[in-house]
Amino acid sequence: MMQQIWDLILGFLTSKYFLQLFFIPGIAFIGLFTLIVVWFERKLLARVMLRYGPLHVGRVAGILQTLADTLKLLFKEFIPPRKAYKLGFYLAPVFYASVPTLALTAIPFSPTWIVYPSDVGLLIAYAVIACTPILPIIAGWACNNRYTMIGGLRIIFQDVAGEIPLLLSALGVVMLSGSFNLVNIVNAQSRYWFILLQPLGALVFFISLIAMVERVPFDIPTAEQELVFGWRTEYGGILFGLTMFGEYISLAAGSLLFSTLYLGGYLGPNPFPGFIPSDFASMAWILLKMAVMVTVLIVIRGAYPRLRIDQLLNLGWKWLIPLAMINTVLTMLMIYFFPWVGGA
Amino acid sequence: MSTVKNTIRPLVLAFSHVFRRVFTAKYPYEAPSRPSRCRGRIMLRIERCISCGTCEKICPNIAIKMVKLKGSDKLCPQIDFGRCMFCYFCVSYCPAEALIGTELVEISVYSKEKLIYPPEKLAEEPKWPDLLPKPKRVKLRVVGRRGAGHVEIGRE
Ligand code: SF4
Ligand code: SF4
Repeated sequence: MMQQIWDLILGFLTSKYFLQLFFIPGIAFIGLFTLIVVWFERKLLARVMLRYGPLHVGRVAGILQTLADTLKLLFKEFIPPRKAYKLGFYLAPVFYASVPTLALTAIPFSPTWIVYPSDVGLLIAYAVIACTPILPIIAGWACNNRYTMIGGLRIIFQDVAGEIPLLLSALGVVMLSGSFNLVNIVNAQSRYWFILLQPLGALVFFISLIAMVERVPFDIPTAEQELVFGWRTEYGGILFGLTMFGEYISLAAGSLLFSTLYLGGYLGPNPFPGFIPSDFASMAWILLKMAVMVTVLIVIRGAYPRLRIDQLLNLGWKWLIPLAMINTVLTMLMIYFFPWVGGA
Repeated sequence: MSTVKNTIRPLVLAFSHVFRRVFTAKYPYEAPSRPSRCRGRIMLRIERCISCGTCEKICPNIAIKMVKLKGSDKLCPQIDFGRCMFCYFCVSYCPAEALIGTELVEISVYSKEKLIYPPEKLAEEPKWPDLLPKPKRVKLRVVGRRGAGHVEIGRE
């Protein structure tokens, strides 16, 4: 009897579901990613500005700074505005932090390591990304504050400018691989990464991705200098922490999606085929690619000033959407004249 | 074309900065040398003071009060650094050059009363506060291709 229960527990602990829920891409991955990336961002941005960045907490290069900040946020009180719509005020950040994690379920970390294998994995990721901006709009409205409301409204504009080119530019990838299934898309890149065949598409996707995850040149909804802190103005304590958490999870999902679509996803040589399980090597490769993407995004944050909302709309409507369409047409011609380029 | 150039240049610059020297000094642990005209705590040379009271009259913030030295009848200035705004009028108007400026700006304390410096305390040499660790003296220098940064004095 004891033995059976023990086997049951052991079987559950080593089952794929448990590992996926608690390690990659589950709780441990998300938590560690946020802690490390926030520290890394502060440190790298500091180096871009010729500063030191976090230095004291945790002795080695301030590595525990984020943990200390998180603890501080946990113990702080959050005060809802008197006339706020309480349900929206409390629930929006919670969902804002949890919805982007759903995008991770569609991303293949190895040919078999994927939480929800589906033939329309790309569309699932897009659907989740399209859901996320609704929550800041709700939050901005529920706080009953002008700054949060303006921040929420700006998100609508930003969404319209960013999401259409995001979808259109990925169309080239779908045409080349002949599938919406992310595993097929990755496998179609076994000869060339799609960034080589689709440089224009990759550029458009990358720019609209920055707009969708609200990173710095496009952080118009939270513009600190104009809107206090945009739609997050009224949040404090752990609710504020959750909004930041959601932002970094979006960042992770976005960089993972870019790596999957354009950088060959989990593909990569396994240095010791007999020694390291192939699943492990695949995960290491996609995480490495994600790390490179995150680094690039952080340096971009240090390099560019924020765009105005009309400049973003200009960029989105007059440049990104036409470029994405041109990219689609070019891909069509490419497939027509050189059918062997695609993986399909 | 210039748009493309202007878009790429900041990115390249930002990337190159990652490998440059850090410009800031770790302040309380490293004390950067100050420019020679830096206005710090004022020092009094008692033996030069002729007790004329010019400093007391010129001080715009009424930070100076003439008080008797301990054990004698000589009047000397007492400065309340809580009121002083470091305009250095007193230093420049002192006919005997008894008041001189120093470079030390680390004079913060936990109570306001301790900022009132009687003449005896004013006469002391400026000294780094005991609360802080002994700092490395550093200087801003351009070192090689990695840009400007702070180097320890004596190890340039
Ligand atoms: S520096 Fe200016 S404010 Fe300070 S004691 Fe001298 S005259 Fe007064
Ligand atoms: S002005 Fe100079 S000499 Fe005159 S009382 Fe002040 S410190 Fe002494």
